[in-house]
Amino acid sequence: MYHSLLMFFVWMIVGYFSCFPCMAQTIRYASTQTIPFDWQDLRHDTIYFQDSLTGIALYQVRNFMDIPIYYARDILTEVCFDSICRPLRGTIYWNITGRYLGFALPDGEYLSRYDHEAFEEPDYTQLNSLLADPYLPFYGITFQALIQPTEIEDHTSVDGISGATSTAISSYVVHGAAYTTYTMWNIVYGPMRSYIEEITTDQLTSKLLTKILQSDSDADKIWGLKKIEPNAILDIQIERVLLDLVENGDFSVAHTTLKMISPRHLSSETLQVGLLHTYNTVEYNLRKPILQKFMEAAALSPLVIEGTSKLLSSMNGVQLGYLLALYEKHKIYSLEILATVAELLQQGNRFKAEKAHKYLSSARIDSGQIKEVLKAYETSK
Amino acid sequence: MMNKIERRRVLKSLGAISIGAAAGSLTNSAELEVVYNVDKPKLQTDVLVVGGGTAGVIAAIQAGRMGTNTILVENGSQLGGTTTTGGVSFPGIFHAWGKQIIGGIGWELVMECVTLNDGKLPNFSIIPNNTSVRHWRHQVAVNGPLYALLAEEKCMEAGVDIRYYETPMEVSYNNGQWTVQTIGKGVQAEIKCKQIIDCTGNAFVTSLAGFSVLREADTQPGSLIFRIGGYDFEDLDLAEIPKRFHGVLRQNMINNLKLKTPQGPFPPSVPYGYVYVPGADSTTSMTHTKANLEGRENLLELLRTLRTFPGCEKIRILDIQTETAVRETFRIEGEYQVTHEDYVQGKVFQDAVSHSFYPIDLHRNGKSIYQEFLKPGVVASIPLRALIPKNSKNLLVAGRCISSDRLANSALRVQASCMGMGQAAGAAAVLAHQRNVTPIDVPVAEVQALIEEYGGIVPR
Ligand SMILES: Cc1cc2nc3c(=O)[nH]c(=O)nc-3n(C[C@H](O)[C@H](O)[C@H](O)COP(=O)(O)OP(=O)(O)OC[C@H]3O[C@@H](n4cnc5c(N)ncnc54)[C@H](O)[C@@H]3O)c2cc1C
Repeated sequence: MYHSLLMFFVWMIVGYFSCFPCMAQTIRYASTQTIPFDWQDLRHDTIYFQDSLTGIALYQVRNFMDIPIYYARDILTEVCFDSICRPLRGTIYWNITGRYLGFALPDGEYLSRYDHEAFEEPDYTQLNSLLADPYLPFYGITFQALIQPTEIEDHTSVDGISGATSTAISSYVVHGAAYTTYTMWNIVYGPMRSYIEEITTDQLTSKLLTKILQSDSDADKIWGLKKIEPNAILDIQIERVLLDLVENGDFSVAHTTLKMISPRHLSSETLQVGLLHTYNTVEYNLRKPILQKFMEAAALSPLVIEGTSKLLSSMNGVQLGYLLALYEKHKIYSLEILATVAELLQQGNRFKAEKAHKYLSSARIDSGQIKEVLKAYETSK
Repeated sequence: MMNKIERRRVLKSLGAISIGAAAGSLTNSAELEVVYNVDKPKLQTDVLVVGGGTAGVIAAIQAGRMGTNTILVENGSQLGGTTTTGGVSFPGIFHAWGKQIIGGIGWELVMECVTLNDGKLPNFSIIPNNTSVRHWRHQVAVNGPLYALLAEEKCMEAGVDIRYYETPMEVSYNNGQWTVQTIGKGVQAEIKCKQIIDCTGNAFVTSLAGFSVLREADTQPGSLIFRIGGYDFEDLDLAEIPKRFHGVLRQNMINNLKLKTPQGPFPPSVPYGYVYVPGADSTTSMTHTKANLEGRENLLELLRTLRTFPGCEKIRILDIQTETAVRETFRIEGEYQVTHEDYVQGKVFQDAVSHSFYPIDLHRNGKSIYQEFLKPGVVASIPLRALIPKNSKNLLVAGRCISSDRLANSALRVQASCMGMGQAAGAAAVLAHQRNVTPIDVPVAEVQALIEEYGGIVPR
């Protein structure tokens, strides 16, 4: 079926519009915006790039604050059916992180299936959501290869294998418009995408990065996080956003944020104190990574030492182990902390007591009282 | 000239001198010993966990971390069960619909394993849609042997007394106390304990103790997992190779395990292949031996066949698990049976102690899989009652053999769920021990609070 489809319906990209802003758009579908904007409110003078490699023209559109908002590329293709071709014009948009933003067709233009039936509203909506999915199995594969079912068979799960795997290409395309979907998807995720990422990366300022990190899209957040320079001093705005991502991001966002915080960044006391604050609010699984992050700091802020020491008595044995390892690493042995930890030797939980004992054994203890408790514990073992 | 006998005598004495000179006291040091001296220790503990697999490890660590005396009896030589010895080293699923749903000790172990192996986590922000991104892409690839090491370290650190190569052979309950006779290499131990957690995957202890267990007439096949090398998948002319072998060839190519995406591969995965073993059952030494023999025989046959195909002439085995991994044997008849409907509707039980998230996933006679995906937002839960054999006292079960109907079981048997159940069983057993009651009489809110205190996630 798909072979015949190929013969009837061919899209050929033959050129690009040079008059992007003057196209009156009637059909437009869009996904999440990195930086929220209103299509009407944008500056008209766009910046034009020509990729020296592909020769493709690209427009960067900025808002009135001169912040890049999106990129657009016009496409001129031919739709052929029964050897009768008609040109098709359109525009594809990307967010500044290279993530798909949307597509538009100018006045009078429309998409159709291989039988020439015009797309209806649900078809456009489906196409839009397919184009927003970077994981369609279209990457690095020819259309011919794609329509041979074995090529997209999903063989990688033990308990999700073959028989149960949907190999039907129909899940990935608008019905009757497989080639259109495939072609547009490949434009969205083709070389233009990395070119866009490069341009934005070159133009990144602290302000722009902050906005990207505040995007509603997790993919944008992770994109932005990976642009954080480990050797830079972070400005307070970015610090705040990072702390917000640790506190309110989903696991992957929060975890990536923690990973991107470098020892250099941790020289900021506000960041350390902020992280301590998040320790108390995040879900359990992020607490250990936070304590481990403090391990990377050249020195622990006194506020962090004070704040964490208040948690000693209420922590479970595992968390206690991580905190005491942190103290050991930074050689934190105040009398107050030693005394609190010594109390843990007597509270009855063997596992916790062992953690306390390990820490106390690494300290030089002057207090006679603590020495006694320690000795009593050791003889009772 | 020396005659033959003379020569032999001289050589013999020379030999004796040279051995004596080189080895000194190493010679003649052996003493006669009793070859088989059966040790018969009598042990007392608070909690006994039987089966140190996916669920059992977590149950034992939870109990140990609470300062409770805990013994873990495992008939194999390492911890981790199906996750390690079985070779299914990609536990899942800990996240659903953008949220972490199973955490605690299982997640801690998995994360440490990933970190110590410089591994990669999947991007959990990408929500599976069951078309382009399938659910199992959220499984976390771990290094199996490393997982076994870390599991053991954590057990030891929690004060768990590990007993390898042992299995219970008799179990009796009297006056609130269990007596378990175990047998192992040169060991016949008697373990007295207050609470037992059966994590054998086969409801073995439950059955020994005389409680009802169920088994389907037709169980899912087991799998012997292996890795092959010595060929280049990209260079194969697949047209020359029968289609039914494409999968097994493809699975072993690391690149083919990665979904090629514009952002690079997603997610990291483990290369492996497997042969099905119909009816594989690990409940007894005899049934498991049979499953292993069949698995190895099937694999040899496959190897020989693969080597007849063009481009595959040099295929060789890189690795084979030492056991056939088993999907399904016995399940307990519990105080509550989780049903298919409960599962797909995401019923949150009032006594829920863990989430569970996977499609219904039933391997049918080795030929096809029945799958049913959970609707967006749906996450199933496991009630504590499903971990308690009906009418039992001081006995809990965790892992794939909890009380569930066949279709629910095909989903809740996955590893993250087993880990969640393990932690819950560990917490409930300790609380029951501390209060000197049977687990069903522990206020469930206390069990739930304890699970949360130790990082587990309780469905609410
Ligand atoms: C081939 C295969 C593929 C799978 N694929 C996936 C997947 O992709 N993702 C996923 O999450 N799950 C998968 N699963 C399911 C999952 O791995 C198992 O259901 C789960 O690991 C079972 O955990 P368990 O703790 O109940 O049993 P196990 O992990 O098997 O542990 C049981 C332990 O008990 C020990 N034992 C048994 N009997 C005795 C005895 N009498 N005395 C002492 N010790 C005993 C065993 O040696 C073992 O260590 C798969 C399973 C199989 C077999």
